[in-house]
Amino acid sequence: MTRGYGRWVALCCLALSAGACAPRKETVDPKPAPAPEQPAPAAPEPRKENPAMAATLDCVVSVPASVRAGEPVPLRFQLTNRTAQPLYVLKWRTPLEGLMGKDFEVTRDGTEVNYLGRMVKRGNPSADAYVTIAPGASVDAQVDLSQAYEMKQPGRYRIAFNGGLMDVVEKQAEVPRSLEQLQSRPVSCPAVETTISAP
Amino acid sequence: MSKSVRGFKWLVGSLVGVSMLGACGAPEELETASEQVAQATGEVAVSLSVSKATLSAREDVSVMVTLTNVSSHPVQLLKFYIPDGRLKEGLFEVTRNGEPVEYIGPHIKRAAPTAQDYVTLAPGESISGLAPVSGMYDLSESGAYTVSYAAPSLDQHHAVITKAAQLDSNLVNLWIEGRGQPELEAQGTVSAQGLSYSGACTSSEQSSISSALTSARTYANNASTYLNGISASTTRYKTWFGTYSSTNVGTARSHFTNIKNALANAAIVVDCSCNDSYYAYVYPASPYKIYVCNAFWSAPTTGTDSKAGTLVHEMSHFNVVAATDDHAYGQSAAKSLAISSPTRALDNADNHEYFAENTPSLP
Ligand SMILES: [Zn+2]
Repeated sequence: MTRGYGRWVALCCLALSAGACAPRKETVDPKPAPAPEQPAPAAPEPRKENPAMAATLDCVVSVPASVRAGEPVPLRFQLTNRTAQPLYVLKWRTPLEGLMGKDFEVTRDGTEVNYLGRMVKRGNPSADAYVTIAPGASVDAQVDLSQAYEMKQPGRYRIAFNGGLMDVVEKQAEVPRSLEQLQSRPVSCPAVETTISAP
Repeated sequence: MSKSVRGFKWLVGSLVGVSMLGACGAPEELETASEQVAQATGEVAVSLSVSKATLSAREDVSVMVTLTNVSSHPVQLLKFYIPDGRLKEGLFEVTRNGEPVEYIGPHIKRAAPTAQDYVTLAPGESISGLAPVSGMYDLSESGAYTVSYAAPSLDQHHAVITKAAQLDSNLVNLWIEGRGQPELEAQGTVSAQGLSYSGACTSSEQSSISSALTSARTYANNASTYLNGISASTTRYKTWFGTYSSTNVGTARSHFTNIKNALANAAIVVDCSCNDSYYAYVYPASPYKIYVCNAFWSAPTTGTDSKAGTLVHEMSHFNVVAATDDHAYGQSAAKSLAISSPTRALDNADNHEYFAENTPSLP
């Protein structure tokens, strides 16, 4: 019994795609998200005595100076490799993987706001959880903080990156490391502020 | 059975090519469908098919979705909306007798996607997989159903994407026998202890979650009893929470009292729709829903990084329980944290998990 009723219909419905099931692409990229003003990147100062650990990666976080309440709060996160060799950085818990944890402490007029996003328990990282940063090069990513923090109320917001980097590897052959071998590295990203104004 | 095809009047819009296929979708028939959608505008054509068009109340309903890059350049698709047999959320718009059918599956709030969250389809390349309809949509009543592809678009993410794929749609018709109360499908079977399921957990998944919860309760009870019974540092305490002080042990005690009570009494919902490599995740501000992912299923019931331990870990995250964070992952990082910062160890979910698992056992 292979024909007759029970017929399902595969059809392509051009007009439908403009209707309820349309992916509404127009709204996907509204002005590549207001480009946060780029704070002058710290001049590549000559490294001081202790270049070994802490000073190998520069971190810059930027947000627009002001945002209207209810609108996205784009945050740009940038890491720059100040060493002379490539570095392999685990993206976990940084905006390089999106917002997958409470990566920032966000306060409104001095009071911490609620984190609404998720927290994830992970197993060993895979190689694609790392990003390669060539000597002198930068990687960056942008996230919308308002997707994960309560930022609807007008006020003065301060945003500070919470963590360090969960693993930084110098030898490509060691990528990925197992969970038990991760070597976290502190990174200092100056906190930033933005004003959210009434809509 | 002509019921299954009545209702074309619901379709507003032009029907470009209607292929009448048999009740069993043979491969060549699927190809026919693909050819038709290939004429669609847009970069990615969507073709839906089913192996059976008439389903009894006892049968699961799912639809084969094929996404084909019909353009001459590679396109990127968000993984979340690609059916892979274990779909996270509803991909469809469903109607019954012309009326919209309610979505009863999980609503997932996602972080902004990163490059890893996309798959690239080369020109001409297709991917396909089964996506569930039952468990995701209210199929409580019998009727003539239509299913059309309506995956959420990317606009909620404000992602920086160069070539977001435009998805076209198509549609299948089904006759589905009603399957009773939608509430039961939506919330799963509520056990005596207040555990329920969402995201289409299979029955074997449900039983493995249920055993894990029983063991998690034992872990939390034992941890709580242990903490209440010590008045000075012990190897086990110090390993996972660092330097002993009355303040710190007080924090640990209250955390485990809350974890124990929540595991015993809260209306826990475990969702099986995640298909990421993680163990699990929660939204700490939204108790008590726990999403379990791929690593959870391959974990042992008890022991290090087990299913039971994962439930303790996740429960500790909820703001109303212990409001822990993930400062460090894994046993060695958790041990280091206990040494370097007892305060952070007491705020780290894995330290709670490893303390509770106590594997290997420490005095
Ligand atoms: Zn966690």
